[in-house]
Amino acid sequence: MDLLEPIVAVAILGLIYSTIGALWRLRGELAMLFTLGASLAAIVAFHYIEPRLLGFIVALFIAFAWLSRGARQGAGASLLFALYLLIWFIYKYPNDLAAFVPALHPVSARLTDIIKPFGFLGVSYVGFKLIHFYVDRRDGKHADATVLSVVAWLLFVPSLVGGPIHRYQEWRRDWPLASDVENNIAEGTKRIIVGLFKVTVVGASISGLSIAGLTDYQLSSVGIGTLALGIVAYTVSLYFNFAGYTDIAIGIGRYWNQSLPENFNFPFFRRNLQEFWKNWHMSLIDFLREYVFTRIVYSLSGKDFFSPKSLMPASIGLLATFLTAAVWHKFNVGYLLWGLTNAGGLIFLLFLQRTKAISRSKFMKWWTTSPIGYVVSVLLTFVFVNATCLFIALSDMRLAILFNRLRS
Amino acid sequence: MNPFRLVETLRASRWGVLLDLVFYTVLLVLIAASLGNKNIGSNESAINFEYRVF
Repeated sequence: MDLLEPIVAVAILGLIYSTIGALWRLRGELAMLFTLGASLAAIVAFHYIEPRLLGFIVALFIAFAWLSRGARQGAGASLLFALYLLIWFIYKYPNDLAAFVPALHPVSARLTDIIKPFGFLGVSYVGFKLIHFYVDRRDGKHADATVLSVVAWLLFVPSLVGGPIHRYQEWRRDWPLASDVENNIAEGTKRIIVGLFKVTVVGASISGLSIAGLTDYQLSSVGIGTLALGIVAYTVSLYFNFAGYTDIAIGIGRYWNQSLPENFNFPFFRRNLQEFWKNWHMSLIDFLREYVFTRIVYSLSGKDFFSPKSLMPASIGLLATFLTAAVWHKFNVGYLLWGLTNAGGLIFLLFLQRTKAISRSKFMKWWTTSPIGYVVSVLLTFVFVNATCLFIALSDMRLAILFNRLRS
Repeated sequence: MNPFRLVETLRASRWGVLLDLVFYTVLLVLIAASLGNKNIGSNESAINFEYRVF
């Protein structure tokens, strides 16, 4: 319940905010200031960020936004951006790295002690927003962004902790506050109820069967059927929990008159891995596509050592994208295997699609249009996704126990 | 008739409000009944695992 209570509380605050905003007919910068104030109040009240740290973060963001104004971003903005990345990485990775290299343990412990006061829940999602804004500004976008608007967007509380990754242009698009407060409250409330249902009723019921809940002894003794059920339960409960929290965040966003981006669109009903990834954690995948995949493919495509039809640039791009996604989650063997298998699956699919003898064959034409082809494709994709989820459902140590058991 | 289309037609009619009221009330009752479930926010819950990486 530790995550649910503050979320419900932020929803109530959003309702109050929405009502007061409508009553006072707030517009423009005043409405933005009110939004920032309400976000800060929620962050302090629910201990998302410790007050002293919040002061530091707000000062850092104000300075960053100030140095990002105008036609060209100042050099100081790059320094502050690098400082945030440093805090983010030192907060997240020393322990993971020390698990790989035990000699690093004393260093990681010392670093963790120093950086711990600077870490907060949501450090990653705010980091994604910061990368998006910083890179876009380097590309000449958002030149009209004001300091107040950027800071209010970075600390916008409904999507602070777990996303969805909310782009600056989406934030600006929804300003000023709409007059249709009644509709926002009605639609937001419906979305929150659906989200709560997914989390508390469906997700919580299924997660009781998850492989993550098995003890080490059970992992090495229960039947294969139980293990398979456990993996499916893990994947499906992950979907319902995460999709539920996204629904709640989007619903609360409506109270604040923001249309947060969608994260899931029936991912388990997709006929291949490519379609699955276009419909699972969409805001993260869109982010990675734009800032990792496209940039790598673009920079490699013009090189002489790749023929124009070569699959290499896209393959390298996919590998880099999924390894980035893996390392963002956690730096361990399980996540690296998860990234490699997903990238491998997508590269294989790309190869099939680019090989005309296969993609234009009569069988493929029948397969892509027939209901049988659809059902079997969906099942095969689901099995593949579950197989890759096995790598992330268990810690490296427990994964080793399971593989030893399956090998013997 | 396609059941999804039937629901959409009903929702668009004057019965839509009543349908919404019944649907969301049922969801709320189920949510209230599930609040004691120890798996909500437990270590085994997948979202808590994700939550740690945020």
